[in-house]
Amino acid sequence: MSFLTPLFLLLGLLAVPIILLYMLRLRRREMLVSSTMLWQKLMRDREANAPWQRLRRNLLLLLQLLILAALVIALARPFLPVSSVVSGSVVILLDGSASMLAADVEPDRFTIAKEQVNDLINDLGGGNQMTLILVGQTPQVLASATSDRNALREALEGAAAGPAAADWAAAFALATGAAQGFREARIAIVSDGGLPADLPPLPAESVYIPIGTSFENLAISALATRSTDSGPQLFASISNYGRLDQQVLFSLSLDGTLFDSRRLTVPAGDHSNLTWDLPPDTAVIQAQLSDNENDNLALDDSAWAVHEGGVSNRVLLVTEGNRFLETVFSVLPGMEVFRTTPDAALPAAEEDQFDLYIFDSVALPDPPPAADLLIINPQPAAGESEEGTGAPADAAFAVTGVFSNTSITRLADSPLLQFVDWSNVHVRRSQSVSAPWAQPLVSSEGGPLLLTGERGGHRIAIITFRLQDSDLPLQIAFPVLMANITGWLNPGRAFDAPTGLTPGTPVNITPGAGTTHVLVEKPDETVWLAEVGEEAVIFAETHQPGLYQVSLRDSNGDQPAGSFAINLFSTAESTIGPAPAIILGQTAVETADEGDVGQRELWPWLAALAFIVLLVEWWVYHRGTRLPRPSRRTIQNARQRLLRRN
Amino acid sequence: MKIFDETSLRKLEQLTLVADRVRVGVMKGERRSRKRGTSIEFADYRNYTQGDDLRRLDWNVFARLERPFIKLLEEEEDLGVHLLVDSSLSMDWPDEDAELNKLNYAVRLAGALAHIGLAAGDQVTVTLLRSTGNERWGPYRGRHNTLRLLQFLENGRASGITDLNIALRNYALQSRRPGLLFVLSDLFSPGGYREGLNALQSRGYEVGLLHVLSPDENDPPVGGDVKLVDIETGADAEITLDTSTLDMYRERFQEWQAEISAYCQNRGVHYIPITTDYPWDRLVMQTLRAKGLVS
Repeated sequence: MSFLTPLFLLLGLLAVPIILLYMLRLRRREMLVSSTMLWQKLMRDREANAPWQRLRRNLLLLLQLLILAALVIALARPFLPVSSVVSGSVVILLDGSASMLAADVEPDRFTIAKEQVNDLINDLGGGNQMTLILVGQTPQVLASATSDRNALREALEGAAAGPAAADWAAAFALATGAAQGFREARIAIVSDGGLPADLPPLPAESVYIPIGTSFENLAISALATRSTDSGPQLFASISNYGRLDQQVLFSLSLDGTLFDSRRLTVPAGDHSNLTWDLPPDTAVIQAQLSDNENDNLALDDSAWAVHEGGVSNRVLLVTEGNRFLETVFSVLPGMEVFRTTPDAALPAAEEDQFDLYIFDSVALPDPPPAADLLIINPQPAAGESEEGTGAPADAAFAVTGVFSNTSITRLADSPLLQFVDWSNVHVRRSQSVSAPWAQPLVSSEGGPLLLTGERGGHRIAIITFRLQDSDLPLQIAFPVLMANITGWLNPGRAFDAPTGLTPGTPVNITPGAGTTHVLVEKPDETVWLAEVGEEAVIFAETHQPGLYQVSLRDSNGDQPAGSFAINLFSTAESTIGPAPAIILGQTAVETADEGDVGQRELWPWLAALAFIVLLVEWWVYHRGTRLPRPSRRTIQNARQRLLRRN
Repeated sequence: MKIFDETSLRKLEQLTLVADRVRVGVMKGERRSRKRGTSIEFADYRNYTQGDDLRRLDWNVFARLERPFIKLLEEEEDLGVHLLVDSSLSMDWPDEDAELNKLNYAVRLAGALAHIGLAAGDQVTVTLLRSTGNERWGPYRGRHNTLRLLQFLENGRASGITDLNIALRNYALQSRRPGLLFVLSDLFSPGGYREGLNALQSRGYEVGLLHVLSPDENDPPVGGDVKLVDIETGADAEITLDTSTLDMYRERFQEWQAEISAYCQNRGVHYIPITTDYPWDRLVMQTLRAKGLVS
């Protein structure tokens, strides 16, 4: 045992005045009794019976000296050297990635890691500080540069591992910053390995505390659909990341019904690929691995996929003939283009409605179709004069003339113009269109060239010039613009969710025109609700792997708008074998051994001891001073009597 | 100190002291005796022998029969009553409370017993025992002496050390007329009391031992580190009084009393333990009556 502040031991000299005071104090209280005959006898017996009786007289003094000793030693701050993996101030990087949820150690790796960190907190020497960083998808500083063990324990208690890959680069940046605040810092990485190879070196001495024992893990490493001529096809890959061949039961459910189940043998370090032809109307696919005791990580044993179904948007192109438009729409994905001439009647039946109408240099029918519209080179409505002095009050727009001073003056900041280069576009002449509900996106000296807006719950875009009157169709800007416009007019699905979404990836949700709220039902059946406002709706709570169902709420109630799947599909996380060492740059971080010496301070125990002894002393002292002291008169009387007797 | 009020005296006058074993009156008393004596109660005649008191000759018979006869009359005898009050300093306790003071109590008790004796025509001797010289009152008889007795008692003071053995033995040696004898003491005597009692009994005294103690001796309310000072001898005892010590003391105290009681019972001594918080008149009227010392 050593002392941090041994000078305080000099306070032990206070024992001398205490003993002196005690000797002064110990003059016993004189008390008169009628006779000491019985007392003398009693004392003889007691001393014969209990030889420690003499010691008892000094019990109070002993207790007081004990209190003093305890307090003085506590002030000198003794500590016991304990073997510890780190000493001094320390920055702890606690791995909170998905692989830490592996159950190869009881109850799981993260709990064991927390226990390890708790030991480090207990071994934290006095005056040393600790920073605790939880390395999850977004690294988080749980406790910053504190020596308050309770605060550290509390912060540690609240930490939880997430089902996502850890962002080690960001965590290293945090740790580097934290370590610079300490004089002699050490960085302890409590992890099962799986760190990326390109991490920067750490600025301080680092130790690696490995967690976990087993390598054995099976995972669904891929699950995807694709459309073929014969119908949708499913591809699944089952990987064995362990060192032993494993058998596993693979089950496949389509829309909640078991479709296939088979027992597979996956060789060690290898994978099995499987394909299925699915029924054409399949939407949600769930795959599940089960019945293998050596599978230590449950998180990657389930996977979901959503099949788009290959449904295209129906587009009706009303034109006398426009090669540019026909070419563009034939190559845009997800579009099924139909062409008609202005003379043909538009289909009236509900089920024959198109998702998008394109009127190229054609007057709008009356009433206009109830769908999204793209109007190119708008023509006055039937019955209007060529000059068009007035339009019906309910008409979408009025064509007021032609202008040719078409040099572009202003481009609006709109996603529709993203990647569209207008600088080389020249327009010979254009229609002058007034539409109060529309925003001009491209303005020229004579008037707007491109307008967009919403009217009657539908989106309408107007290109005010004939394509043949400009060089726009010859530019690379044309297909980009068309893609942007059709994407905006006919957004298709409510959200942009490619396959292969991993936990934590935000998903953009594009509500329809009449949508007031967006609802997302998460895999744990809680519902996320967002009000549709000016801002784009971004759903970021994709932490759990599973199926997320999106609904859009409008005046008609909640409309299902499809679902998307979040899967772990991470080789780094599924490879759960603990790494024997971590390579940072050119150096390997050593695995921790208990070679370092920590300090376990003892002063709280000593202070508690002093307090308890103080209570005992108080009790001993107060044990029966019930009799009041004899009055001065009594003593005088007694003295006189004694004098008289003599 | 006023020892008695008028009412108490009246009550006491109705009582008589009773001695079972001692019947040796020398003076006319108010008790009928088996001895023939000089009272007016006729008993018998006997022949005159030389040396008989001529005053007791029945002259009427002599005139009629011309033979001398001595008239025997029934003797009415008195009782010798001895009251020995221990007046050592230890009896003057507790000195702050006159009501509980052992000496006051003993003096009052002695006064009561003496008054009973005087009222019954007994020969009463009251002695305050102390090392510096006993203070004696009497022997007197007749109730007219009560006032003087009370004056004597009121002036009684405690002083010095009393060795009960020596004091009682001396008293036994000096006594000319054994009778009923009461010892009023706390028995806190360094030399003990047994030899003294033996000496008294061997002289023919019928002994009553009134053991007077104060309540705090019975159950001492002390605690802590104290130096106990004996007010009689001046001896001190340093002791730490905790509950266990006090319990032990109480145990010892009871053993001590039981030992005295057993000794007295074997020797035919009337032993009456008294604490001074017990009313003295109730002690005389009830306890002593129950013991058969007073009727």
